[in-house]
Amino acid sequence: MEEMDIYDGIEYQNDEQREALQAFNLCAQNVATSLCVIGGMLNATSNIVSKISDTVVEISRLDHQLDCLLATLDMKLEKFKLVVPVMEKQLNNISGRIDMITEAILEKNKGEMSEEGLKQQAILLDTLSQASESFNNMIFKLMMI
Amino acid sequence: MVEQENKATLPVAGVEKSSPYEALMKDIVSIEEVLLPQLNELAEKIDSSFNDVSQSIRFCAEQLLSTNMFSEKNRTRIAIGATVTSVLVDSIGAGFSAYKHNKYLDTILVEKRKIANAKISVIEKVIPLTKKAFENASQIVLQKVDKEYSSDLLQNQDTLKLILSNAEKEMNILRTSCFYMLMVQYLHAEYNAWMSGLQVSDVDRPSLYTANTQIFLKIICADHFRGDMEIFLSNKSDSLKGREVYVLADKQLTNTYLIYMGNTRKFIDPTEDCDYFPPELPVNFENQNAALSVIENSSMISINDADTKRISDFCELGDGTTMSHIVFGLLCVGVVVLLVVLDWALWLSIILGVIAEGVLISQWVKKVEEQKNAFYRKLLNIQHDIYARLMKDAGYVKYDKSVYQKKNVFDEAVDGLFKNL
Repeated sequence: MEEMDIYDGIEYQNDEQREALQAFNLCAQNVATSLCVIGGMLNATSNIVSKISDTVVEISRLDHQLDCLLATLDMKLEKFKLVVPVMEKQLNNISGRIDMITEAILEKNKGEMSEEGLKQQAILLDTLSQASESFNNMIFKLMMI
Repeated sequence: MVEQENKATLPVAGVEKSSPYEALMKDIVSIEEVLLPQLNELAEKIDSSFNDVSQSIRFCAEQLLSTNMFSEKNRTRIAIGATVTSVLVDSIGAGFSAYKHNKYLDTILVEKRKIANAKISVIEKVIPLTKKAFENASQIVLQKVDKEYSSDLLQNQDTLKLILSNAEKEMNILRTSCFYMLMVQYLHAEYNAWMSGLQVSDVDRPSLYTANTQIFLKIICADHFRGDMEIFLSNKSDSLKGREVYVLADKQLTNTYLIYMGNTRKFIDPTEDCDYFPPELPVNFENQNAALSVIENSSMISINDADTKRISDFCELGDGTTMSHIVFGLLCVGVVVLLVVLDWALWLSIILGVIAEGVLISQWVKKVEEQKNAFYRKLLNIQHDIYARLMKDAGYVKYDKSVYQKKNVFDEAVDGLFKNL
């Protein structure tokens, strides 16, 4: 297809007029391109500003989250200082109980193995499991408060 | 059917009720739960923001250069200026990210010191108590490791059930007490490190796997499973020893035993890669008796058999080199036939044949080498997969303390400088 000349159909009085019109058209094209570039750059700049403000907001959100964590830890620490004496006492009591059950199990294990003996061992082991669990839970609480 | 229901069953590895590790760690990691995502998120956000800014600068420069408003000299200046600015922005971003990372760690260290100051005296009182609990549990197990369980007891399903369930309970008490003892010792080391201004101690965080390996080596006594292995598996006698019952009854210990055996009878650092191979367990099932029947029905045998089968099935498929050998052989025969047929130009045929053979041999060697490498890579992946599963079922939990390492702001900035170049 033949390319259309934008100056087709325009009647010029002389060559000077034609050249002036062409110069004007070129100028208008440059202005349009520049506006396009400026538009693109403004878009990119607004993108930069938006990203920076997002980051600033994000950093302050994380700072706030950290402050909350520190406040919670401080609170837990105060609670810890209060409960320590009571829990230490309880821990010693359970430890003593574990000693007693262990002695009983060791004594029971000395004999010959029979179905009855195994059943008794099972009961004692259940008791020891419970005591150990309490002991471990106590340590767990003590350390985690 | 009824008989099957009453039959004593051995536990299946990997099916864990509740792990004390998970329960304990849930609160231990309260700092990490908040801090780790923060540090990762921060690094990502800052990095991506600065990267976007740098990209935008490049975009602006491209827009400007797409016009014909500038002279060649100015175009060069714009291009260089944009590149330098965007690289600098990247570098500043990386440096800033490292700076914030370090600042967070410093802030948290102040709090860690407070915690350590308040808790260290208490933990020092708790250490002997946990040690005592562990010693008590050890005594119970030690009393039984050399005890013999006669065939009468093993043949009776009710007593077998009791034996296995008691062994499991005893091992569970021992493992938990060992784990708590190790954990308290670890916390003590951590508190000391915090008070000295360090983010982490050089003590590795224990897992149930740590407890299992210690129990296996020191209490069950790995030495008994060395040598000719007679004690466990050829089983000339009709009874089982206590240590054998523990390995068979406790699912985590079963996995620990298989890891030990598959690593040529040793434990390696869990962070290192391992060429685990399912061990060939020296069990002789020819002379059936009550003890062997218990071993045969154990999860230890089923796990190991499944892993061995997985590897042998893969190996049976072969590395594909057999076909290469056949094709190569046929080509050689073809060349010889040509030499015979083309006797009118024998010398020319020989020269051409030698060249062709040379090319063929080099190509063939290369191809076979590639096939073999691909095969061994796949085999290694299967081995790693099996090993990772066994480790998990033996209570291993991976812990990465590198996040607590401070970053060098200058190094990070320099790295950022070259990132997008």
